[in-house]
Amino acid sequence: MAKKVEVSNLNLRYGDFHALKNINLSIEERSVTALIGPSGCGKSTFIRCLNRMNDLVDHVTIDGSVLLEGEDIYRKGIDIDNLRYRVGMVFQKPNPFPKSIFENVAYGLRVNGVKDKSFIENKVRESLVKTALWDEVKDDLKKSAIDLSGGQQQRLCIARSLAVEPTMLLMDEPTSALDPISTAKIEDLIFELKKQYTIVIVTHNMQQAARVSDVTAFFYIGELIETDTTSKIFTNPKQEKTQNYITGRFG
Amino acid sequence: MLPQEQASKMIRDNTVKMWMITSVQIEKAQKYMHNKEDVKLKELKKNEKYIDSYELKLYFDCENFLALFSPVAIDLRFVLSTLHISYDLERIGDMARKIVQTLKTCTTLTEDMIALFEIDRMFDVCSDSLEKVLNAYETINSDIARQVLVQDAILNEINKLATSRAVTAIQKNPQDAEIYLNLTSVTRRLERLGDHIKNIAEEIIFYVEADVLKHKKSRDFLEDNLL
Repeated sequence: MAKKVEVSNLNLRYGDFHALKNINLSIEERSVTALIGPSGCGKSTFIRCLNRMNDLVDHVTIDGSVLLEGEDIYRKGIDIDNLRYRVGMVFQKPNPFPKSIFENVAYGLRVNGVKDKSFIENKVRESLVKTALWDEVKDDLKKSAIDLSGGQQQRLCIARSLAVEPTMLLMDEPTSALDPISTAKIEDLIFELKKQYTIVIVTHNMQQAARVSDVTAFFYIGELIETDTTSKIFTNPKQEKTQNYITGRFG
Repeated sequence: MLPQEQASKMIRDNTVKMWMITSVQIEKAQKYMHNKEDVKLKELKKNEKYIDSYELKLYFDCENFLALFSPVAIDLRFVLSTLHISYDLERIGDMARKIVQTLKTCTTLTEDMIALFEIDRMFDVCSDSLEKVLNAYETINSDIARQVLVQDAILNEINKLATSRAVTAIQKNPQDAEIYLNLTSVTRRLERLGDHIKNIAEEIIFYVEADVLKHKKSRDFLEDNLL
């Protein structure tokens, strides 16, 4: 499989606080990579480096390189808006806009200047089908997105990301606010989406990491301790720290 | 202590108890071989019921452990290996009983006959191996388990000699043919018993090192055909 992302010697500081320490990680195309580790270990900080979300935080300094499809996303002059279209993000809490279901999904296209009505309609439908939401909402596209259930809202947010044709999806604890049935639907969705997209997911749920990911990376106090195939990490990790964490002995 | 630690301690403690009773069964079978009056068969039967019950209990406890704690890595290997170990211990208990049943029919068994087939040595190797694997399990030490793999060869060797020894002995003393044949059956069972102890040693190595030793020769076939 081709490399989608190549992170080399990545360091990130919030002021004096060294949040990510010399991270090196390759992410393969059309795979799911789970980032695990105790709270404050740098997982979310790392995932936000992949679409430069940390640029929005004060006093952040970053060095090292992050190559997305061979392109350094931290080089001067890069179009950050375009980067964030290419690398979509789904957050812990579903965050639909206070608009209709249709307009939520169409939002990115409209902001991007797309005016072709039938193109937008097709994209909205396609995105809702991909997120297995179409059958549930096709007759209520004008309904407010806020009225959807939590699980449906999260799938809507994923559909919103897909509508602008990203190449990669970042998911920061996408199911932590959802019930088991909605969680299962999102996990099924991740399984389907990886046929087309590269996915990086932050999760505190070990079973979820084991179920959905191909590769797991364990972070601890800003360091990437170990990365390997998920089956290897959950059966025979090389590092004692990883074993202690996944077996619940610390963290 | 966390619930998971409590549950795993309970599984470990019960496995050790099952192990102890199984060891006693082997000792009793050896004693019975020398003097039938020394061993109460009722006690052997009672012990066997305990062994079967422990196997069942461990099966349920391991099932609960898997369902409730979704163990991974060394915790998962602990449960998987314990399940296999309890099965092997139960089989060892069965073997000990079958040996006693066979010996029961040997009414004119003598110490010379026992010595000819090196059955005491086989019993000693089995008892020693079983004690070593127990120690390996309790101390989570795969080096001790590896020593047992070597000891199994002794049992195989003695068992291989049993048939030719029986043939020679029967030629000399045809009136004792039935006893000699029964003794070959005892050596075969002790050799099988050793195989179960070897299985346990392999499970402990899997538990500690995540290295699967069984069917090593089939590994290439597995990789070529099933993976």
